[in-house]
Amino acid sequence: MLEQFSFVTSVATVAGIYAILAIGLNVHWGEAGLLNFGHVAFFAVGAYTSALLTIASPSASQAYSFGFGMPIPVGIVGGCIAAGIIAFLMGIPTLKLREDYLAVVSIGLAEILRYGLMNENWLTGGVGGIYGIERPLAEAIPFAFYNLFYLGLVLVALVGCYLYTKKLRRSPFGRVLRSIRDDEEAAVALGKETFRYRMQAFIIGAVIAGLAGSLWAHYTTALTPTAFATNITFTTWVALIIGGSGNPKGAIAGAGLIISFREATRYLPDVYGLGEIMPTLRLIFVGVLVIVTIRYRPEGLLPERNITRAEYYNRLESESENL
Amino acid sequence: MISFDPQFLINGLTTGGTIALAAIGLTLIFGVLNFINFAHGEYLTIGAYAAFVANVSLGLPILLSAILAVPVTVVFALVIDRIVFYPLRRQGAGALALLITSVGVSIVVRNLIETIWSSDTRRYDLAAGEAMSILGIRITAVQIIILVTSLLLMVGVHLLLTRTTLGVSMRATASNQSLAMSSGINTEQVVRWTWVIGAGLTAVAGVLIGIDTVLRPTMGFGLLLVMFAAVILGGIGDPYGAMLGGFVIGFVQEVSVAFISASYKPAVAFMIMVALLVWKPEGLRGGT
Amino acid sequence: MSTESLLSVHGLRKTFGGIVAIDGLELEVKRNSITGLIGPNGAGKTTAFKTISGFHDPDEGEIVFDGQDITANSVQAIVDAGLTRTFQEARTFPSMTVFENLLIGHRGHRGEGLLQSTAGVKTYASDERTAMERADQLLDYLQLNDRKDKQASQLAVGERKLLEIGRALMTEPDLILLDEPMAGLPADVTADIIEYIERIRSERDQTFLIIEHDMDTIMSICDKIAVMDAGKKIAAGTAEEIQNDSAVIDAYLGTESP
Repeated sequence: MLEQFSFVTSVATVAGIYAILAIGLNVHWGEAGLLNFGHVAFFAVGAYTSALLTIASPSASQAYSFGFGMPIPVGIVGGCIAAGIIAFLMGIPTLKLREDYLAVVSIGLAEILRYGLMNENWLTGGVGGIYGIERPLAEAIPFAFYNLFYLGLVLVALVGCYLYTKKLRRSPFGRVLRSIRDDEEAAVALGKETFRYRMQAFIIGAVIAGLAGSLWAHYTTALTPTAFATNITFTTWVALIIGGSGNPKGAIAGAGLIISFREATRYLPDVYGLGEIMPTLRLIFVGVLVIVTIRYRPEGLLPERNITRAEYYNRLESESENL
Repeated sequence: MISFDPQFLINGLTTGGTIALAAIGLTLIFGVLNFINFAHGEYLTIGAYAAFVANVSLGLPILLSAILAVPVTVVFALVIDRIVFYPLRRQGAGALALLITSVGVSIVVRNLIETIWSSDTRRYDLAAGEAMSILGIRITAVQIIILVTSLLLMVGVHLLLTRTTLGVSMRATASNQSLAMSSGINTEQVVRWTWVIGAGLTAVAGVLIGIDTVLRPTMGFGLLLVMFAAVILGGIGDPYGAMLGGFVIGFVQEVSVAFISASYKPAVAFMIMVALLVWKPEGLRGGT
Repeated sequence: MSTESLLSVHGLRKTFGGIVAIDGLELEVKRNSITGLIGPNGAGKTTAFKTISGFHDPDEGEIVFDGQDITANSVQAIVDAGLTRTFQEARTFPSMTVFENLLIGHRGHRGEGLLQSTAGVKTYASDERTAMERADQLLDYLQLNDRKDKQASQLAVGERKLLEIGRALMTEPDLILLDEPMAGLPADVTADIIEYIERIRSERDQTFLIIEHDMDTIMSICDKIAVMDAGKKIAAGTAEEIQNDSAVIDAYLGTESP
């Protein structure tokens, strides 16, 4: 019983982290219409930065040269900031590009980053990676409850990201983003500085992904470059497509579904002797699901919902009463 | 001052030749259908594995296997288009819906191949090639085959594009679809033949790579970004540009080991592509 | 009384690669007028609109709007100065509601900044209130009130045209450039749009510069018409004067007769 409970907890934690990733990607794609296929790059930057900021100074035998031993909150904030900076640098040349070109460039940049992670041993520990990353409050919480505690941490972060992106959706900033997504030239014709809005959306989504990365680093306590391959980007995209893009609830639902599916099928194989091919069968199923979803229900499970005039008015009235 | 090693030239040309073959198809499809086909790498893999079935499972000689791989791949490409892309085109789906769908297709095909043949590397049943030395440059029989085949096929493509009505129609549609349609060109037919030529050339590239190295289910997908780089370098929709782009990328990749760590070699193509898209998106040959 | 020129274009020149799109264009638009801009296909009319509204920078020439030189200004600066442009295809934001489409038009909304939107409504309540009140007023004026929460893509084409004009009105323009407003509209809807344009001109003190191919519209609605061909103005005047101008007739020969 305890074993199953522990299993569910760990699946929920992974699902929660993917949900945060998906919410970040939703800001890119669902709100701003940015086809970002390099999302894993922000996740990786967040993870490695938080790890390097919090880990102890390395001994001579270790490949990496930096370790600052800072408290974990500093690491997490640092991870978010680093992801934002990377987004800014990536965004300058790429956000002017047509959407499908952005897809190709973003993968290219994410791959270049991954090669950097693998080769720059002095920074990242190379292929061997970084290990022994601290877990927050590891001494204070009894071992039996630690995973539950961490799940709680992830859920708090998830709720925070959800509430923030929901707030942005209803805000004037969110309106301008959607207008740029719908028709950039028309938005320009109304006097909007479209590049600035896209860049800001890009950075916000990246910071959220960086947060997911930091949480991941302190959960797994070890990082290697192979963990940051394109399948993370792909899984996040599938979560968004299936769950419903343009809708933060959809991002969460999609992540929950995909991860549950993945973990549930991990233990199925022994029944039918399909063990060896289960991973690929699973992926085939997911691929077919994507194709079918785009064809027959492109809006996903929880479609984007328009905000009514009444809702805008209520918001204005209720919040200004508190002035 | 790095001394120029002509070995780079040979290696670059052979790598470049296969990339160029695959890139021609990708650029034509983008030009004619106006979407970036993320499943394009899988035609390379399908071609390689089809030849594997013929050569290793059925015991046929490699040349025959290579030739058989082409229609098999073409049929796959046409079937995939008919059941997946065509319905979307007909309902007016945009380039992005097609792009995301093609990602789904690539996942399905790649994993289907892995399900059947596992992720182990495979090899063709070939007599081991000897390396020769010409003017101090080491070249194997396989590399000669790759070079000759690529060049012959490219000449063939050139003749097709310039001497046949179909070829001219393809170029016209690739550069300006609405104009082509209003001039009475049957675009659905052009589309079909684009798949045929594109997938066929890519299948050959797959077999050549399989001959030169090994087969694995990710072989096509792994080269996808490199193919994109070649297409963008040469200018989208421009088959000659794709040929040029393929050779340039192949060459630059090989030469790069003299300047940067060899473990970054695959990333070189990405860097070129990113740099191009940012500074000169119309490619080396400029706009049409 | 001096003729109050709201917009003056002098010696405007714009080339793309080797192609001369605008070749020494001269144009005057009087305040509170409805001025037409016509010409055969390829004459450079839309390019002129794009250059005047700031989408292109001219190679040579001068554009003076409301006494201000806006020649090299950005689109945003030009919109702020009071000049707004619409598109041929009624490019309303398809996934957004009618109400939202109008709200976006409101200029200088402080809430649109990321910091303010993050901080919350309190930091931009007055701008939001003003924008919503103005949008409400336009909803009534354009009779789109019952569709305010519908997605713009669900509107009929005539309603979308009206919405686009409404959205342009939200920017508080002095001059609106309408690019082929009647394109693709059935005849009865055209009459409605014409009526709206005239009402907006007189009731809201607006000025319009309209590109049109539909000659009936142009002749009935425009006070003055300028004719372009090959990047230049070849004639200007009232509808009768244009119809009898030999240069105009030559330009249209073989395409359509005015």
